[in-house]
Amino acid sequence: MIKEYRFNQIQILKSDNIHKLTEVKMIFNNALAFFKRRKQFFKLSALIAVTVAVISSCGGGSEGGEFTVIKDTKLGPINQAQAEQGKKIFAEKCASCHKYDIKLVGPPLGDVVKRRSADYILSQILYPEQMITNNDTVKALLSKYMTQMSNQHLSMLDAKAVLEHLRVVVENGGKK
Amino acid sequence: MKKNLLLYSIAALIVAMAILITACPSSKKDGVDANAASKVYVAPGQYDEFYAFFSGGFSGQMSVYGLPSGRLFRVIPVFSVDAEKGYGFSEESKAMLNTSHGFVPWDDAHHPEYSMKGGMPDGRWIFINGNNTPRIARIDLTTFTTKEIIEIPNSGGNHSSAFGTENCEYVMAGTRFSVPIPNEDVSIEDYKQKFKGALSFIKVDPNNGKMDIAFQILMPGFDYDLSRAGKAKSHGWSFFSMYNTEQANSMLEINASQNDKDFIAAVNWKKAEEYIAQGKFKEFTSNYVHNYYDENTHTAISEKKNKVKVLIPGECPGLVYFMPSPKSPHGCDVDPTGEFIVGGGKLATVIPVFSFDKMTKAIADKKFDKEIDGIPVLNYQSVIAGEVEKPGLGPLHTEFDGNGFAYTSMFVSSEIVKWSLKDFKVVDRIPTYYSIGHLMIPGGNTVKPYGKYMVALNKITKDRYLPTGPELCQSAQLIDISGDKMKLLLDFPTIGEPHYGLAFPASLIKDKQVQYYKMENNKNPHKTVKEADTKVVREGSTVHIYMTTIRSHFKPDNIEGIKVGDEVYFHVTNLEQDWDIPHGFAVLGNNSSELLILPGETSTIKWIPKETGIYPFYCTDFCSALHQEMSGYVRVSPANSSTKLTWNK
Repeated sequence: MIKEYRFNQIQILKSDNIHKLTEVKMIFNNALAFFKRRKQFFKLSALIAVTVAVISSCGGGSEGGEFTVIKDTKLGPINQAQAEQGKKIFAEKCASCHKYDIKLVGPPLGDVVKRRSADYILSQILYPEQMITNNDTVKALLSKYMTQMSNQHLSMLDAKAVLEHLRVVVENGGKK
Repeated sequence: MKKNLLLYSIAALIVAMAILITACPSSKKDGVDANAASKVYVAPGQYDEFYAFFSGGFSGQMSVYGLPSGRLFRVIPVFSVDAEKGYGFSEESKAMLNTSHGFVPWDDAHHPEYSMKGGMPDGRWIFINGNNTPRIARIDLTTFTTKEIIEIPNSGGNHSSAFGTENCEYVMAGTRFSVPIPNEDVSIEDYKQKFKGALSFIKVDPNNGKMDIAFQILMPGFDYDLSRAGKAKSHGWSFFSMYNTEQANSMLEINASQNDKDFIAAVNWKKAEEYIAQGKFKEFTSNYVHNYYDENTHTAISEKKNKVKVLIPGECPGLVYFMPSPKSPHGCDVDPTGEFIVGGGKLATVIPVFSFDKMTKAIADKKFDKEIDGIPVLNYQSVIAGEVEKPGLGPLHTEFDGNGFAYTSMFVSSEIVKWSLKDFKVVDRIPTYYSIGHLMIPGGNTVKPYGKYMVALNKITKDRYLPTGPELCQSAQLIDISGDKMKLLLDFPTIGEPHYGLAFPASLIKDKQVQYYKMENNKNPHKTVKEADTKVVREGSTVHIYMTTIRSHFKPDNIEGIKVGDEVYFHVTNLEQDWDIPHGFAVLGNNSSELLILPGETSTIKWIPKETGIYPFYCTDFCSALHQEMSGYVRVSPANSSTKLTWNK
């Protein structure tokens, strides 16, 4: 019972780095309630140890220092022409698995530019195999979604167009 | 007492071991190199040194193996339908198997040939013959798929094929069975008067490989067995072996084995080109079908043709000569220098080695013994360079190692003999298990063989493998030819009957593989490039379902409004753009195969539902952790129902 409980917590934590802070808070609250009920304080230390280990293995959480293939992407003002092109590419290459506002095969992408860096997004589009091996956020997402993202072999130009499109989408409230 | 017991035990053990050792069937170890295992071991994750391609014989297909491991990589569907890949079942691929006799879903594939440049394989295509309904196929080595099949008119069986010239100018075909040309309703008794044999030269477009029958040569009604193009100094000539010069039409095993010598025809194809250019051909009418696969529409197209240019040797001096060759020659193999043409007389007691130089001199000196249908028969002594004495029984086929040695397979005595091209003396022999047909050395038919290995392609395996009921596997054997003595390394089973094979270094094509079909190049009229475009369209009783796949779902996956008796076409586009991610498609009860849709490809399968109900469909090729979820339903309503056509997006 306890084992299962812990596993679930870790899964939640691993599966979505996005809301890590709230989740960590939730875990501790849940855990405290749990241990208050059971008064098994000796187990608390073990849970903390596991939780700490998971947090540290998930990388920094925010984008700084995490593995990406593309590095140091500088974003200027949104290029509307590129964004229009990106919208078309998104419909053909991405929309089978990603919607803006709901989870489908992959995560909703309406506000992905708020959650992820431009380096992360471009790397995940262009080099999903390297990201799955090296990026802890992507690893955690795989354990939640269970389907590895397809490499659709976009060019760098196409990937940037998709990024511009996603920047427009978030400005429209995450829907388009 | 105890000590004595121990001594007795040891003695008994020694005796037992001695008995065991001597009782071991020695035949299975004959010639096996002591380090054989390490020489054929390719560690997990490592690549083989050579690609090898073996004909599948009566399977109609071609298989791809690695050497030296003998691992099977792929079976390429060529002349036979292949339900595993939807080949011959999908609407797009069906036309590949069209002939003048309609859809022919099978053939007997014997001899692969690679495209060459300067007498060496260039890694572009492999050609292979269909023996039964005469055809030649071209396989693309960037996709490992059959791209083209051309039917050979005026032919009764395409055996001496598909052998090519050193710059892929032509692929050759000769008829195994002579027939009336043009074919007509005659008595078989009229064989000698009415039956003819055609030798065909198929032009290959150097840019895209597309084949076209350039011309045929109308020959006497013999049985044309194998062929080889000249090379280096003999480039411009081709050689065709033949049997049944007796022109028997029944019990050939006796009646076609009467003559001491049959012939190897030497054809001057450069001369033929001159005659064609001068218009000295006759145009014959004969139906044949030419199929090719459009890379952008992923669809095979059939073209009906009925005209072919024919040259008559009697009217074209210098076009064809006969070299007498002892008893029913099979092989007519040209050595790397182009000087020697080796006859493999199945029933002969020697291996005749003809000299190209002597042949051209004999032609110049008109050393003719007689003429047959206007074809001069050269004097045997004037063209022979030497004979290999006592080679064994049943010499069939010869290849070369590039170091001055030839290797000839011996069907009857089940062995390979190695002999010197200097003095035509046998230097080594090795048994094969059993009844070898052709043999193959990587590049063994080129101007510069790669050597190192030789593969024996055997007809019978008998006791070599675990038995599998009445039919046993066919087999290849890998032999090390890097030293003075041939050493057996490995047995490995093959698909169908491996008549002949080819091999070249893997590096020639390994990095040229197509990984997926680019969606932007997909010109299939029924493609669906994005999920938003999926739809179901009814045209009378025909329904087109435009469907997409990506890991791991179909769109649409719920379809209603299909009626009993509808002709339903599932046009499935695989939206993936990544290597090694095909999706499959199969619907319950369909009288057809699955589809295997490669990334970026559109494939179509036809389905006529016969009963009302709910029909599941699903992905057949494991694609992701959620592959098992990749499924859907079609609702089939009565023919007269008013169920609305709906589908989910």
